[in-house]
Amino acid sequence: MGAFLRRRLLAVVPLVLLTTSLVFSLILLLPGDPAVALVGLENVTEERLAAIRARMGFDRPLYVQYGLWLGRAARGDLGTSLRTGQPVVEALRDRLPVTLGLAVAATAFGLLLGFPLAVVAAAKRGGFIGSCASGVAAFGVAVPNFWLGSMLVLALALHMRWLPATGYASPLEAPWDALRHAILPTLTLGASAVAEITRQLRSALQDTLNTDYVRTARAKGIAERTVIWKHALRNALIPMITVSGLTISRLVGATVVVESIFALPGLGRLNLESVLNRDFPMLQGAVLVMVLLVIAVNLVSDVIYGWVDPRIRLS
Amino acid sequence: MNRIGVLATSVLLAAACLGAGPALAQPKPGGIVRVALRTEVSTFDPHKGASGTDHMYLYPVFDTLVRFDDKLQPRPGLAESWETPDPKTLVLRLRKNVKFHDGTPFNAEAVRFNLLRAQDKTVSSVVSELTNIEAVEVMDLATVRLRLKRPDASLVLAFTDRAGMMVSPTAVQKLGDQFGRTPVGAGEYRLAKWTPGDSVRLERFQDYWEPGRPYLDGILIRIMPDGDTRVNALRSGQVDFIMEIPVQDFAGLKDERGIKTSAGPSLAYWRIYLNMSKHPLDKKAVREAINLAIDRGALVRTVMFGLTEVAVTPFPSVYWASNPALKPWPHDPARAKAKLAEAGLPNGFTFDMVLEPAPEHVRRAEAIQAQLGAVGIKVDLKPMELAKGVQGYFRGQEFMAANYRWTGRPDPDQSVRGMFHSAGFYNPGKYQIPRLEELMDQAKAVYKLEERRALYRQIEEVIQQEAVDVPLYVAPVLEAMSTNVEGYQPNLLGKPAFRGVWLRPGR
Repeated sequence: MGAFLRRRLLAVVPLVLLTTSLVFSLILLLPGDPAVALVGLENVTEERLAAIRARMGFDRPLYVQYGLWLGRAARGDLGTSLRTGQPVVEALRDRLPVTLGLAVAATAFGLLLGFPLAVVAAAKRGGFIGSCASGVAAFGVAVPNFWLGSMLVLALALHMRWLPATGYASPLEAPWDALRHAILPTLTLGASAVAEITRQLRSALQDTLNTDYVRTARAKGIAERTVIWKHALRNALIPMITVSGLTISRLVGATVVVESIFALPGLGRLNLESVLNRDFPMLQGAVLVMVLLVIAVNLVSDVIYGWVDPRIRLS
Repeated sequence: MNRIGVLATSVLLAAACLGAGPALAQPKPGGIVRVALRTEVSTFDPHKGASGTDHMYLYPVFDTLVRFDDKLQPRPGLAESWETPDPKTLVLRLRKNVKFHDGTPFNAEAVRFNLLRAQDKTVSSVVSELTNIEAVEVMDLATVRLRLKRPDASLVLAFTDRAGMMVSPTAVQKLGDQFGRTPVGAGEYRLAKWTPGDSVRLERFQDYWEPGRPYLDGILIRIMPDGDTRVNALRSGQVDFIMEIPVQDFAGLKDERGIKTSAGPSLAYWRIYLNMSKHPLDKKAVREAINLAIDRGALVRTVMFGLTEVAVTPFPSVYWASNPALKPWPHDPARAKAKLAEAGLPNGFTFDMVLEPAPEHVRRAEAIQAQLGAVGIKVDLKPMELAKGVQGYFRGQEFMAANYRWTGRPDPDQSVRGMFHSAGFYNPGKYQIPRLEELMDQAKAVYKLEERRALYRQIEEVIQQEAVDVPLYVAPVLEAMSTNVEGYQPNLLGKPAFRGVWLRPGR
């Protein structure tokens, strides 16, 4: 297990270097001069532009800029926002919990609901209940989350007045308020997770139910319930580790939309606003965190996979 | 007169459950008004920032030398009065006993510090508004004399904007670059907390110079980029005031219980920017043809749900400098075709036009494309992200036309000079009409509002005669608030200032 972990961790280093250098140069390729975006077109003077470029280091060659950025980033300094002057690290520290909390909650919701749905869909295949479960999954995949979000707000916030329509509350400062604020965004973001998990687990379970050892178990006269829950599900669950990891990664990306609908101060919106404002240091920081997050989630799910399934770590 | 029903700045009270409430109720102090805005403040430094959407955050924190009224005419602010002993001298008489939030006294020295800072090319985004100031002289602590390089009547109204927002000199010196995050002004409110991406909390400045003001204990501004999200927040009672309401949602809000709406014109208008150095847009007959081919009434009815008026000149009808004698361009495809033939283009021509890629902008541009297509003018639409399109059109001169909004400026000189003077930034082709430039210089050199008005009316006539503008419709200011919000005055800049707002108890 130790060798496996070391191998996986070592592979992360070139991955991080490659993605960050790619992100760095792609951002600089964005059309629109960040210095001009900062000053406003009409009042651009060469003096002001030169001052800003020198302060930001935009006048240096790309590889020098990247090297300096990487060096500072390694020491935990990601610079300051071009627009507001806020340290990037501070902004990320404030916003990461919002996005991460949302993505984890949505995945948890997906597992909680997707799990029984998948079992029902696989066990009652062809029957009415099984078809219903499959239908729910298809709906979750097909429905765009901006539409679902709007409908949920309309029904549960504006019409029934059960939940707040927008906003965020910190779970540390106001747990009850935070819970109420979290429900609609979690449902919106989690719908696709439910669908994803249901579909994946259902087909894994169906495959397992067709294997020889399950047939043997049934032939021994074991109750169907025990066959499914005790024998089949265990093996079907292994792919779910990867699926959950992928789901979290995907949902982190999808927060851009959900955070806008519910006015949540998270990473997704920070990304979007930084692109529109050409706030390069902020954008680089935000993308870096998202990249690291995805890499970390993948690493963790790989490690768990290897721990659960010896075939992986020994191959 | 097919000008679509002029919407005066009327506040429509929604179905009155409170018995419509007495309109002139006594303001009641206290309470916090919660506002949802589309954009976050870029920086609280009024001189450094450049975004036109910062003002809603800046007005409460920074008092201006001059204020404006509902027609955007200048009114006393931190300067109690001003005079021009000769056209190249502007004397400002300052209000006494005014303090900044940090206790620094506001006086002539502070004004001098501010104006010099706003003129500093290495820090300021408002340099262009103050280029004509040669020297700022402190006469005594309550009097400042500005020596001008040439007469400049637009200065007074420029002082209602960023250039007239007074920052505390001691705070600027102490905080340096951090001033934009921890601002110190002399306005009604001070910044209490800024949570980037989420909210800005302003609290009452206890030592504000105007007795009894402000009425509110504070203002909480929440940032909600999405229009439907803002509407939902108001409907569910999470906020008390929203602006930039999507046109399709406005009618629904009007009828809602507990909500009142406000619709009025702004100084901003939608137009087609033409790069008149590019052939054949350099021909007057071609520009006339474009203007005659467009059915502005149809645009207002369909794209804008009838919520605004057709644009005739660069100014809305209620603005003091607007020329009421001018009529909108008629929709006359036959004459448009004749004009094209006159220009030697009987079969029309093709031009490319940049625009923002969002659906509402594409809808408008496609309608224009169809209307121009009917007379043989083909438009090649280039939807692209705003920063890229703006830099490409104005700086790069890559496109023949652009379909953007003129955002409006407090002084008419700023608008007409920017768009129609050969040195104006928003005239990328540097197209020149000497008669127009003469009139602009004359209008800038007289200080009496009546005389200026007469000159701007002539300027608007020439603009229409020469067909250098393709005005479409006035950008409406669409706002909505809870019926508890009282004393709100919309303004022609479309940038809400919450001066005079108070809350009726019982939310």
